[in-house]
Amino acid sequence: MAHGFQVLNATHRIQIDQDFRNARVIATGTLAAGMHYLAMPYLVTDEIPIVLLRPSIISSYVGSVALWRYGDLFTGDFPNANGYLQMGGQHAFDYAICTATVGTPIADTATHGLLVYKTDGSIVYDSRHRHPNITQLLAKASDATSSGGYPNTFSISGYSDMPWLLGNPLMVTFNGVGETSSSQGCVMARVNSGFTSITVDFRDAAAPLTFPVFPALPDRSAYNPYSGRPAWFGVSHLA
Amino acid sequence: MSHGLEIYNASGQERLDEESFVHRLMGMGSGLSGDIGTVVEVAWTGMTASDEWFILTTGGFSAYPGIDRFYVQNTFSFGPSTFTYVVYRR
Repeated sequence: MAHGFQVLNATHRIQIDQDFRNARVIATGTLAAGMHYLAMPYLVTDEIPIVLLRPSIISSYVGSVALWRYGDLFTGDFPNANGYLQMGGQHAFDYAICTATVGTPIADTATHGLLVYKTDGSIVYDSRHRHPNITQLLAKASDATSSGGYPNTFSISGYSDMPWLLGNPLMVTFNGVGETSSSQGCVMARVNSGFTSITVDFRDAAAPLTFPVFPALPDRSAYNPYSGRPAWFGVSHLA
Repeated sequence: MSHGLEIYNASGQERLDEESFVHRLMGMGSGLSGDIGTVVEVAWTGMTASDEWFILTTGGFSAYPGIDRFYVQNTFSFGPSTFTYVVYRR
């Protein structure tokens, strides 16, 4: 930016920049164990939400995330023509949906704070909103084996309680057998004891449709989208 | 703190820590994928394959950053399909 409002922190990270809108929470809640499908009217626009998931207990898997948008992959069989969010958990889990341009942000009722506008008049930052803070993006190098090197454990730091996990990379996978849920696998992650690491693995998404087991895929290669590809996962605070 | 911005809401909850940062929306768009397992490139000037960038896509696709571009892989066997994406920078 040539002029205007920008804040750099002690590590020279840009905290707020008036030229770019920041992600903020538009929906949050708690779901029971199993797979869930939430209507996502925001997907009629081009913006893809940040999905954050937080397990309720240590070593409980969450993931199997997909943001299905009508018309992208399918021409029919959508439960909601505006699109929906698929996600699952081995036990109860919290979710938070964050966007920068669409949806109505959850706001407290404060009459003071910091409000930053973009030159087009849109709000860049509002201290009444809740914002994700992905403290670590966890890189996994490309691995050409069929397992892709999974399960894989990543060290994390700075968490004294259960972190939020970036849900978007914990994706539904597909083994190509057929267009049914029984042919799906999924990428899932769990937080390990002490909040100092997470483990990412491929699980069988069919089982939790009837009961919350999420067994490991037998060879993790039914279709592994991360085999031979780098991948990024993430952990986040939600302020 | 040495420098940086701390913000608290009216209830005294910390909204922004001097060591934290919120995530800037850098842009969004759509493209056409290849078949399952194949990767297409999307040009994005200034992108570095560091841990500062993350790309979100619609279901059925995965994405990862590169230098001045990012990569989108079709992970479903429905053939070439439209994907939409959002680019964030931390």
